[in-house]
Amino acid sequence: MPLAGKVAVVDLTKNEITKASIPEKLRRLYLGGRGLQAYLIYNHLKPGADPMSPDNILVVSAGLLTGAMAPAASRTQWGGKSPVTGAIASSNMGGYFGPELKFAGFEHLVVKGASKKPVYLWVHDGEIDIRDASHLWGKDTFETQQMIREELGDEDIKIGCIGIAGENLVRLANFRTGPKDAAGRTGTGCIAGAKKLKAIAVRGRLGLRPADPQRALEYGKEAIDKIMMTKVAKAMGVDGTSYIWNVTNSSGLLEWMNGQTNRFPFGDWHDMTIERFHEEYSTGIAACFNCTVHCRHQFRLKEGPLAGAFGEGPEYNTQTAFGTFGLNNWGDMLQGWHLANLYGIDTTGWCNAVRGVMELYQRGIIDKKVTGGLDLSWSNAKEITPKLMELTAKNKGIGAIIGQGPFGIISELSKYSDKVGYYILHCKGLGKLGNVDRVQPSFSLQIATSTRGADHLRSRPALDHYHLPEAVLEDLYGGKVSSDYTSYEGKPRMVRWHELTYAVVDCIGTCKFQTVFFSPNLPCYEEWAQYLLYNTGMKFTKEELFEIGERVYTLERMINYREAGHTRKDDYPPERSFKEGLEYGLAPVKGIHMDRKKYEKMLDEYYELHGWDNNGVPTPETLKKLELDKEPSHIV
Amino acid sequence: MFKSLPARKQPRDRLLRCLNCFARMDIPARATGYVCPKCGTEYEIAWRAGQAKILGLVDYYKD
Repeated sequence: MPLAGKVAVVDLTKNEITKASIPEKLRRLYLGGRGLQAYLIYNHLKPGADPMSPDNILVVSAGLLTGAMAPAASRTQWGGKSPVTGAIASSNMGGYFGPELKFAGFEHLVVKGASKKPVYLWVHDGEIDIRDASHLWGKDTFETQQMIREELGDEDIKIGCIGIAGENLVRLANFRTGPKDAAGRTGTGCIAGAKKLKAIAVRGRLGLRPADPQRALEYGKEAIDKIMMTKVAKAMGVDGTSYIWNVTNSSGLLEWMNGQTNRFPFGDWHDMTIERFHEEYSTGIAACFNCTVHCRHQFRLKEGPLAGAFGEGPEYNTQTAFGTFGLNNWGDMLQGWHLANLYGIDTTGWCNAVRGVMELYQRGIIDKKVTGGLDLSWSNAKEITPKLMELTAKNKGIGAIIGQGPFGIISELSKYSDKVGYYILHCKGLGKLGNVDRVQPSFSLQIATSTRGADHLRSRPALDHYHLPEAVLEDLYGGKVSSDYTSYEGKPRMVRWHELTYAVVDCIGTCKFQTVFFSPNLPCYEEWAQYLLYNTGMKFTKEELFEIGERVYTLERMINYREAGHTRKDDYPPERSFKEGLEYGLAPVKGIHMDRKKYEKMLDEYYELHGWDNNGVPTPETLKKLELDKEPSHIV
Repeated sequence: MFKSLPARKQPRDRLLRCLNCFARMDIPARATGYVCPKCGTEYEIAWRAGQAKILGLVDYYKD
């Protein structure tokens, strides 16, 4: 049964492994996945630990329903203390790793300490072995996965691993599995590298029998039918998340050249559309575990040093990330994407860092003496990408600065100008995406208050773009929310609702893109309560699930308060969002930037809805209501 | 507050919203261009699995 997944604590310093069951009390408070992971981080991380030290922990968590009979229940959550931000590390990936971890009998792995030599974990059918990985050190993420499968003699083993970026303690390093999926953000690969943990290999045959197999099957089918009737599922099944790009580009909602313009400045925008990808590179489309939508593009590179290589992806987010610093066609973007995947680098974070450094170069704040002779002009993006990526992965030269992420870049380069902090666009130390937020109060508030820093997957209210009737919005959010995406009215309510809702999704382990994230017709609390009932036998009301979301989000806020001192001062979008209007765009966008007074008012309202004080700190009453006043409780 | 809307039974494959004025646009089958009847914004249209989609703006580079 999905409830049977255990927690294993692996101490790499002592070479010890302990296993524990998860009590029902914790299930009712945190479900699993991201929720229990936050609990484990708060309980097991030594307060104030250096993220690069053995005191940090790496927590790998499958969702409560990951691997079970619920649509797209494929997700795995990776966390600890972030070497990029100093706050919570938190990253969620799809694919097949999480289900296999559950089939092997585990839901959470807590990796403590550090090994003296490279190791990998072999997790199989209730057992965990710590194995030598000296022969894997220095291998890329594709080779590593294949070598482990050959070594263990099973092609169906699923592997999460780091590349040489993680080995070299690059803060933007990620954990990767299969040809596409990554726990991309907040530096989980760097945490593993510091522990000399090259990979985690999983294989299980223990199964996950639902509490009520017949109803789980029938209800799963109903939910899939509902999902597949939506326009967005059909669009995703052909174009993947890149279906979004044409609309955001047309509206002027992409930030090119580090947010200096919102009109494509690098040639003909048609070369960036998903239509071009289909014509020139697509070889098919695949799916994650238990998904009927199929949004993973497959491609084969045609030119350059990696010609002939097979890959999957990229997502809209990566398309945007590479495009916005000057890779103006699919051939160049796919080369950059594939290189990052081989090295194990967070593409979103890396592209954000490169955009910022390129603007510093454009403005003459840094020159070739700082870049090691590299010409970081926007027009030179194609030529410099492989070299910059290699330098980043090897932690050398200008790459050693870029690979640290926003805080490191600001710290290293501020000696050249006090304006450096203005041009490195981030929230809480996590690099911002290539999307415009400054015209849309909900997006600005969302990236700024996100517990892991500037990011879309904690709380992005994509519905804000749909111009839905206000009666629908009021019904969904439980209060008045404007349907105008440039309006401030009701947006704190909207953002908080998405924060809690996505926290619940990440606890359950289903794909966010098959939830209310993309359409009000997609599954929401009512469906999740049914998935949980038929798979685990546990009854949750919709209100109870919402409260779990509040508990998890508040606990993450507490982790950030304890580890990084996050308060109101950390809940602002980049300064550029307040100062520079956009030069181009359709009527709703042109000339607009965030209004500071109205933003402050949104923050006040947002804190009040959460039950946090005016400085953004959870009040004692809120902690008591959510039973967080007893944490750390050390139950597991 | 906690419930998704029911799945839609009517196909809406040719319906789009204008990005400028948010008016509904009913795109004729196989059209490759369309002008919003309310605000006049002119679009390039593409098709995917029988669904109309906005490819881009005709006057993208015009101020």
